[in-house]
Amino acid sequence: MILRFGDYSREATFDADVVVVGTGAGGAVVGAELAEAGLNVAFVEEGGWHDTASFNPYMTESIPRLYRDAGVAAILGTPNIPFVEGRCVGGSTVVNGAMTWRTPEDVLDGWFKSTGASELSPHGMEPYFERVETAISAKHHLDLAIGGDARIMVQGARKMGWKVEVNRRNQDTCVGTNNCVLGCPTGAKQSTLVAYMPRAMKAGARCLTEVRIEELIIENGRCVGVKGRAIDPRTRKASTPVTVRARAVVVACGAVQTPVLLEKHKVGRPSGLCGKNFTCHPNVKVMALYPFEVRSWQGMSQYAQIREFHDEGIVLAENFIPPGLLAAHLPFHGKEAWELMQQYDNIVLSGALVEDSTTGTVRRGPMGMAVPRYDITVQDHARFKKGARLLAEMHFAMGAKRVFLPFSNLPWIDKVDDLKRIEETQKKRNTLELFTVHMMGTACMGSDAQRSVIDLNGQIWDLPGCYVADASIFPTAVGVNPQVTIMAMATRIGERLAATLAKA
Amino acid sequence: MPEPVSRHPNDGWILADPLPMRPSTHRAFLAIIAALLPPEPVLPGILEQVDDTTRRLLRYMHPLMSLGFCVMLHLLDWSPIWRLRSWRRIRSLAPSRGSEILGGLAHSRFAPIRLLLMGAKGAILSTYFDLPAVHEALHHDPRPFMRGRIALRQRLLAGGAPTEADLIGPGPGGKP
Repeated sequence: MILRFGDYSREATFDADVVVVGTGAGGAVVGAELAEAGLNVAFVEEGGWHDTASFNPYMTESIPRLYRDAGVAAILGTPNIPFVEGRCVGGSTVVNGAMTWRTPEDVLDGWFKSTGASELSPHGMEPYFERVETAISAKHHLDLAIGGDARIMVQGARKMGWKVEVNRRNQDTCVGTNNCVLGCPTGAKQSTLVAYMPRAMKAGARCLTEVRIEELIIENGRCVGVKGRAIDPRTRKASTPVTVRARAVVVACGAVQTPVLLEKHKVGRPSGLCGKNFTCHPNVKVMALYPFEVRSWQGMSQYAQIREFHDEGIVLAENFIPPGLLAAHLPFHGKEAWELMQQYDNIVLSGALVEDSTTGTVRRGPMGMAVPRYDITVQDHARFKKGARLLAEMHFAMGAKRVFLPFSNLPWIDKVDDLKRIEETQKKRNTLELFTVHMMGTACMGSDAQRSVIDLNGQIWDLPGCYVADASIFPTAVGVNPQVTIMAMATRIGERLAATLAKA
Repeated sequence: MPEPVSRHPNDGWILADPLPMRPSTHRAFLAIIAALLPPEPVLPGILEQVDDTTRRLLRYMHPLMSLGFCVMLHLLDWSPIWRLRSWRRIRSLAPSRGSEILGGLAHSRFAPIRLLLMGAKGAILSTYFDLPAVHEALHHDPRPFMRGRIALRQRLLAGGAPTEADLIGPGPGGKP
């Protein structure tokens, strides 16, 4: 049963075994596990349920439907980092690039060492990765889905002598419409909307959409439900109260929203780490203008990644975005913007992702607004400059006539010799233009209440009955696209919670 | 049922009403839109469409963000005066002159000043370059390609074999 704004009576109250807040890579997976174990599951999702048939390539319709805050949010710091996250059934999995990298073994070894939990070791996580990869159909593409921008990136990397690795993506017969960021209109992308939510619904789960959860219900020191309000679609104001009471609550709102909800109740007190340990894999965009047609809007997002510099914490890849989104990042407006956009078919967008070398915070601000804070380090600054320079070199080697750089005081260059100007001009961090979509770590998992927010079962140390299952539980950044890690951890948490509730 | 990948999908979703603005804020907004949009091509009603669509998007932001956006509009409107470029606000200048003055903000040494322009430009240009009339003027229409790919996937799922014509160009498609 799927409920929408118009379905909530004056004060709607629901009962369930488990209420899951959020339906992204964490929530949908944990909910499907629990529903298939025979439990009565109620999902609560702030966004709407949008079927595959409703996806289109128009951002002014897709952004408000699928993204939180119409895609306008920033991490404060030096420099500020704009970020986006999904807000719809399926969460960010509906709008991501569909990468399916497992957590690297060295990261899992680190988690094992820091927690002493062998389940978090590469061997312990293996069965969960396998289950997830089967569920989301993680595999390589058909050749017919490869687009012109992917060919330029791979051929460019080969020309430079760099190592390239073809991505496995969660897709079933992807044919390359390259609309990943606005929802896959073919149904090939196996987001949780496609791969997990139907399983949960088939097993009897309910999905309460268009409801924003505002607080947890805590009775006698135990979490027994959530309270929120349905959002009026015309005014976007919170209106009808909605309450869900349950034996267990799973919070899976993502690493930015989850700590904001938890901080309202001041949980995570033993360690004081709730909202801390925030990591976000910032990245820079480098755009190249070619003297020939590439038609980046045909193909797929990130066919391959250039991993030659992975040991230095730098990964390079192409990443298409539609004209409206691209225009927002141009260093021009007016006539110059029009002249450049007329060459839209000749543009290749690429990015350099840098692994975190520091951590930030997420705090609850006025009116419940999330206030993330993150300052890049001097070492990160050097890596961003290097990543941008490498991409620009490669684009010039492939024949680009202009390369747009992520520096406000050096927005573009027209020849490879001008790359030396990067070192001359980029002395301060605040001229760097960053972006991110991988937020993690704000309610970290551990085996010691003094050094983590949740225990190894996913339960908050100082709030029995309340579990967390999203990217906020990562003890450290994963260094790769986090989708599969979130799903594998959520599978594990769901399995354990089902067993706990069955015993009770 | 509309054709696949059409605008206005019929999935029951209701797009929010435009965010109401005080008359003075709205005048500033219209002037800034006029200053940031390309002067050519001249597309009838485009300013009103950008205004309406952007104000709908503002509804989806956190209330503090949309309030901040309105404050930002006033700061930009007054920018010719506080930057000592003119004694008039953007709303009282010709769009070409307003465009020139706003463009100067992009080169400021101070990140908050650059951010002012970036915020307005991002919201306005992203809306403009998504409108049907602008796509038409750019000769950009991804719908026929997408519909062809949807049909291709259905053919493959039904057991059909891919052909060379299914590869994506330009030039020889397939594996690099």
